[in-house]
Amino acid sequence: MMALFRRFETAIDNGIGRRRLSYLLIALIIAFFLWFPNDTSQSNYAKTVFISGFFYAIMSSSWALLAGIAGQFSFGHMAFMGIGAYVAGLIARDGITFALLGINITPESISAIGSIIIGTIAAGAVGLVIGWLLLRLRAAYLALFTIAFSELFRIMMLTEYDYTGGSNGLSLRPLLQIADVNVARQVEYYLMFALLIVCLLGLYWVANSPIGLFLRAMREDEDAASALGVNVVRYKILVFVFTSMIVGCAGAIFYSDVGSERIIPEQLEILQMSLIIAYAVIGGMESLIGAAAGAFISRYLLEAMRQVVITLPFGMTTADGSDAFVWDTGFWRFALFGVVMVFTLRYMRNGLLYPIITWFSGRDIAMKETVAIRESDDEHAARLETDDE
Amino acid sequence: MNESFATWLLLAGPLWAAIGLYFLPRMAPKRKRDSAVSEHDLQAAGVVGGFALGPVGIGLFYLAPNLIRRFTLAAGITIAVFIAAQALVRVSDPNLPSALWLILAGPLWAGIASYFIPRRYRDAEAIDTNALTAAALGGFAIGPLIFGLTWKHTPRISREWIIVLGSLGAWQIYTLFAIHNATNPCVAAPFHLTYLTQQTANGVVIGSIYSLMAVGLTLIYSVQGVVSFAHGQLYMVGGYFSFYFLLHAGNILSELTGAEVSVNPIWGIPVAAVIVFIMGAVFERIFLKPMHEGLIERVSEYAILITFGFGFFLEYTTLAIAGPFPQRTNRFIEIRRFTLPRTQITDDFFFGPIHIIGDRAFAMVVGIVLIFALLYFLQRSWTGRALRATSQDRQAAAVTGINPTNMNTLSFALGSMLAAMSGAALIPIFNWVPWVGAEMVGRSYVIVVLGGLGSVPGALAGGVIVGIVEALGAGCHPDPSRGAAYKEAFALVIFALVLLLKPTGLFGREHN
Repeated sequence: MMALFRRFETAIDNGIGRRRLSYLLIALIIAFFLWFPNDTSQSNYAKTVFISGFFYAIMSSSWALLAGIAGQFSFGHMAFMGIGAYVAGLIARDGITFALLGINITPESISAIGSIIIGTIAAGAVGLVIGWLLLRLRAAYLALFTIAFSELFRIMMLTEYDYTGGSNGLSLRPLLQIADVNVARQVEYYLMFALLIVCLLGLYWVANSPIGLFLRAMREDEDAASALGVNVVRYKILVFVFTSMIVGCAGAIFYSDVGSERIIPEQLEILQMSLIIAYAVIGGMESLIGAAAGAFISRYLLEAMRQVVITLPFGMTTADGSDAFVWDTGFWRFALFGVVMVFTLRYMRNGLLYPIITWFSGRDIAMKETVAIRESDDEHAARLETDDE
Repeated sequence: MNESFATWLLLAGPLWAAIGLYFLPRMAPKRKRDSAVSEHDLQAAGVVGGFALGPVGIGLFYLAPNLIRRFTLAAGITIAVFIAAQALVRVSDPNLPSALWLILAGPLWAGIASYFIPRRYRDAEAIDTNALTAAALGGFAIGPLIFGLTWKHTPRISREWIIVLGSLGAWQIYTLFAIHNATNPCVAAPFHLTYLTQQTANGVVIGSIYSLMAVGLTLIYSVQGVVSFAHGQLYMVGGYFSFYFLLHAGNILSELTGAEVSVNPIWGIPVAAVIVFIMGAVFERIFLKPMHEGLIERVSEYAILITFGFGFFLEYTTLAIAGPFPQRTNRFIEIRRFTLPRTQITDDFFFGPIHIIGDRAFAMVVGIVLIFALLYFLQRSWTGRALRATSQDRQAAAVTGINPTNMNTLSFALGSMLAAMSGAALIPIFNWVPWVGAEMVGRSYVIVVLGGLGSVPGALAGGVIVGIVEALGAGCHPDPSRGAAYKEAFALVIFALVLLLKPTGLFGREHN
């Protein structure tokens, strides 16, 4: 088996090369996603699952930038998403007036896109305040505070039902107004997919820019980075605000009748946040595309595992006489998911998709070489020592 | 007075302060200045002088810039009197949003003082550990007077300062309440003492269980340096273990005796404790131990995620088994409530009678007994001392023959056990659902940060403080139903203030 894989590997390396193969694969995947809604055999339900898959891919890849690359553990991601959605919805419904600044926004004067933009800015502003307050301190404080903060935000949305609709949720202004359900679903699908691509490009741009390098340096050794002149706190706040805005925007768009009709406070629970973290961990926290793929695949699997049907072999029957064993998984699939997450963390820290990603990027060759060089260096040093004696 | 003039008057102070802040450091002539007068001195002079006296103040400090260095109490009082006079004019005018003004004044001066005073301390090379706290509290409580108190001599800020200023600030909040919400039960005479004591008593009662839970968290942190993000879920499963034990034990006993038997929930506490202790130990051995053996990169991130994953697993497993239905066990004791008699000090000054719900009182007793047992264990037994030694210095402890690996396991198991015991003690009081831990754990984080991460006495004090603040906040909120829902918000305000003013907490070690 291994030998076969090695032969395949050499064939690829001598042939089109791994990088080019990976580009080909990405193109194929994108083509698949573009083609998918045109497949008439697929129900609208499948498209809905895909749309929410894209949404969660945005959430968890931006969380991966924050946690995996910048080393900031925020549990407030869902809360920022909620701020974006709720602010957009409230602005579109009630408008807002700043008498001192002479700004007066009425519900009639604002479009759906305008409200989404304001929601995004609001999420960024809250992110700025929280970042300024917490990012000077150790990582644990951010995690502690954001857990409490997101719980508070959820309770606020639940309690102020005069404004937010309480547990019934809040409808945002619909972004698309298309009468035909099938066409609408298709447009929503493409919109969400485009948003995912744009967000991933933005996240990659940050991760590969000098800022991304600073962030990695700070994650590894904050003191060393700041000694080298990196303004640690400023970059930390910058990336925190950036991801807050991304999720705020994604939330405002997703709940503008694109993926979901209304935002409900239940969506802001810590349990929902922990799902996003689990997706990112399983996909690979240090790779943005890994986290996105992890979220999408996990989302799909969780949906597919709602009911597990095991067909019994050899004509066996269950107690009630049917030939298949049907199990409504309910919350057990999430429990199983938790087990997978914990063991991934312990034994495959970089996620289950990490081997595939490194293989395609050819990074494993470089790693092998580095290890080999280090070992030969060690041997060399050992020989020098014996020579001294 | 017409409206635009009123708005102008409201803005005048901050406006002149801003002008002073910008221009004074740039304009004040160098030749008239002592070399000791720094940029910060002039900025502060601009803000304080501009705020109190407008252009006159700015002019004064322009002509005599050294004056700010000689800022004495007398000058502070003068300025405070001027500002108070302005505030009175503003408040007495019915056209002005006086409430807004009064409410803003405290935080405004707190902000101004906490910007300038620590800088003054640093310029003077004085000890500035508590300068920020004192500046913020003092600015809130006594406004610009805090400049007069601290600017000239930069006195060392002791704990007494903080206590006095903090009490003054609390008094300020009380006065604000009394002015703006006179019908509020917290301030409406003559019942306010009864009501306040009642709320405080409620806070202390529930706070003792908060303490118990927070001590578990802080114990784990002090030994391992790990914040357990599964703590809320361990609290939740503690309650459920107690619930199922009582259910089955009751059924079995009923079958054996043939009569309806219900087991007292107190027996659920040791059962939950034992099970969760073992769970915690096993989890620690498998997932946290490799962390201390150098098998894992970036330990702090791993610790956050792995404990969070553990909590995730526990929560969904409980959801799958128990379902999302509220459960509750029967009561600890049959007595509905205890009543403390009315205390009469003078004719007008009295409080009571105070009622405490029987089960809550019982839970408090359980909490206090457990806390004392834990303290006894930590202080007197060999293992407890070894735990404390490990938390102070791992290497030194290892040299004296303490096995740090075992201490890690013990601390995690013990901390988890305390969470489970709090859960088992509270399930007769609250409705139990699988996500009940989320609310509680947020509160525990506030408590441990307030007390200082890793400090046991801090967690004990913090639990009671948070309990009292929540009870008072919920009780004194103008809208009672909102007040109850926003219980956690009051704790979160403490969280933000502690992070802003003193991230090491009340009893924390100064190493952040």
